[in-house]
Amino acid sequence: MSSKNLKITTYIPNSSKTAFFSSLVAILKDIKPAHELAVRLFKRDITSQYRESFLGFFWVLIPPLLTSGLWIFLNNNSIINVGATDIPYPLFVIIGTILWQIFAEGINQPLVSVRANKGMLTKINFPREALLLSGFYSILFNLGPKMFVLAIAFYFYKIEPALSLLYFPLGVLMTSLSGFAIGLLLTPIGLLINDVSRGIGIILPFAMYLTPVIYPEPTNGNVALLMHYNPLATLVTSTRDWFSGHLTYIPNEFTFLAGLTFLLLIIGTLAYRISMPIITERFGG
Amino acid sequence: MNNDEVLVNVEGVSKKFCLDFKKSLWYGLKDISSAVLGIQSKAELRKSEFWAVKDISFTLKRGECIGLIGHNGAGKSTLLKMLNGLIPPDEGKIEMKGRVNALIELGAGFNPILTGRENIYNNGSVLGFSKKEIDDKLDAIIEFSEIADFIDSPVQNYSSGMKVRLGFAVAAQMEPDILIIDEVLAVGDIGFVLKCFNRIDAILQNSAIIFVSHSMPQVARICSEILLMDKGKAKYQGNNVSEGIDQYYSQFKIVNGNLSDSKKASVSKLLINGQEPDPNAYLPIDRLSDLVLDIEFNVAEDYSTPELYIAFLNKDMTNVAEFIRDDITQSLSNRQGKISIRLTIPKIQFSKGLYSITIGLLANRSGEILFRQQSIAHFQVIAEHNLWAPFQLHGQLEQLEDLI
Repeated sequence: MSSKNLKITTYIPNSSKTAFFSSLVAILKDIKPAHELAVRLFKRDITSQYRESFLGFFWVLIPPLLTSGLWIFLNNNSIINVGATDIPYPLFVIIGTILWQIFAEGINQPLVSVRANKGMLTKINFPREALLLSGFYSILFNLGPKMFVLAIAFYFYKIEPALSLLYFPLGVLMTSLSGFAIGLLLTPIGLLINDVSRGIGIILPFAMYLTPVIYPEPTNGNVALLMHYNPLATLVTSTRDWFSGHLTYIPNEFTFLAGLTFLLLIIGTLAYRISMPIITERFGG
Repeated sequence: MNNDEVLVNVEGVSKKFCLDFKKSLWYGLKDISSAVLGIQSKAELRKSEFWAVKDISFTLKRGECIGLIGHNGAGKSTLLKMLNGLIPPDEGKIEMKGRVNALIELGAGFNPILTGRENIYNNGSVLGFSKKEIDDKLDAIIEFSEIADFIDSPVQNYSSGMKVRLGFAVAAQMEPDILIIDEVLAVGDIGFVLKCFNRIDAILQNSAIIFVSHSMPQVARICSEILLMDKGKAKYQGNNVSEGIDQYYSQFKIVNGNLSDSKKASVSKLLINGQEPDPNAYLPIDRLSDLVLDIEFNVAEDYSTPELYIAFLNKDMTNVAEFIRDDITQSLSNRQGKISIRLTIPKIQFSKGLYSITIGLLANRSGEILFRQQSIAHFQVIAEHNLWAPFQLHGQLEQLEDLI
């Protein structure tokens, strides 16, 4: 054992002037171990989840399918009238709700993953980002069955495969990441006070109805104005239109949102890293 | 290898803590925002805050082990969390050199649904092993745990002792420069605990250990230095492990025992070595000195030949020694409702620690209990050495000139 080149770790009171830069370096250094641990935690969670369940994947699919079913039923029976859609309404609503589900999972996952491992946080020094990554890996994993349903719908409604379909995975990823970025930014505060997760639970369904998930984007009126300023509308509509082949390019708004999402992800990860010791302190245990 | 190399350097470390939960959350939110926005927070105490750890300093070289002892809430765990890098100090500086491992919770990352084998990987990853390292060490881990028969069944079917075994078996594979151990060997059967200690001894050869325990025999066994904490401060610090442990014992509040009062007998007077025992203090007695008990009983006159019974309990309330009269033909005699006795126990051989005395009076040798009071008096045995066992036998050891 060579004692000359041992790594020295120094702990001093929060010295905020260098916090941002040093945290960024620390995060980058931890990426590899964090990824390894995250894969392990992800496998652990998924294996135990499915070993304990007979219905398995069914639970990933049931929320969007139920919502879709409800709206298809209401629309077919003319109880509500969402207006004309450029693709068959069932297809429209299935894509919409699945995309929304992906977004919502993105928002919830960071807080859920970190909370689930609260006990470990107060006892063991491991790269904290592993919890975020393992959460993101489960999101990716859960995309599988959802994409399967969309593939069936694609086949069933005999959509002409267009080149724009190549943009579709990008849309799905950005939908998920934008949710994740928001969730990540809320995580430090959400870990301390549970009002945050409660708030998310109430605001999310509400936000769904302000986004063209189950009805097409109107062209005029107050709702149209609202949609214009709702970034989620851009995400959902663009992604859906790429799927159906009605949009053949990447709109500028989408590019802007993607840039914003990445910026928020970086800020969120930094804020998470910096605030984790403070949160660990308050957790006790 | 350079054994003089300082691996742990702790300088004037302090940490605040907030008792009020809502305030604590509020301070937390403020701290997060100032940390993220890059505002330096002040070190002063805010309302409802106190110093959980105040001004602790020590250094540790390779091969040394410091024992952190003190009551619950003395600040040991908070200090450990800082040493482990989970929380930053509010004042002072900590330098840790080399690979730091912590045995703070055995089996972290276990999932009860999964098998022991799968959980070895989970726990190992959390402790920082790569998959390949665990692959290589898997057999050694299973062998160390001694639960090979159950390794493929879900951990939720394990007993707590088996979980500890598996957890320690994984942790035992660590090769740290600095090892932090917090009260993890409390569970598990004695055979396994000894096995763990052997492993810790082996690790100690090449590392510095910070050891937290409430078990003084364990502390005495491996520590070369003691830090006794009280209300966040160092109350005793030094290489005299015995002295530190004595001070730790003397901090204990006395729990006075139950009196089973049948109105048939009572103790009217009690002297230990000629002194009346203070119910709130431990009477210091040197090992190998005589213990003399003078007891005066009031006994109902119906009981003409009662018999005395004395028991000694250690700190864990285990009965470690009893006195009954060897000669069964003799008995005490009741003199108008009074019995006075003097019991001399020569050269007590109790090992260092705290003991209490239970006094009982029976109607006759194996008869009805007339009086029994647990922990009627307390004493502390002052001795040089620390032992696991409640007795340090007095004997003579000499080397013979010839082979036997």
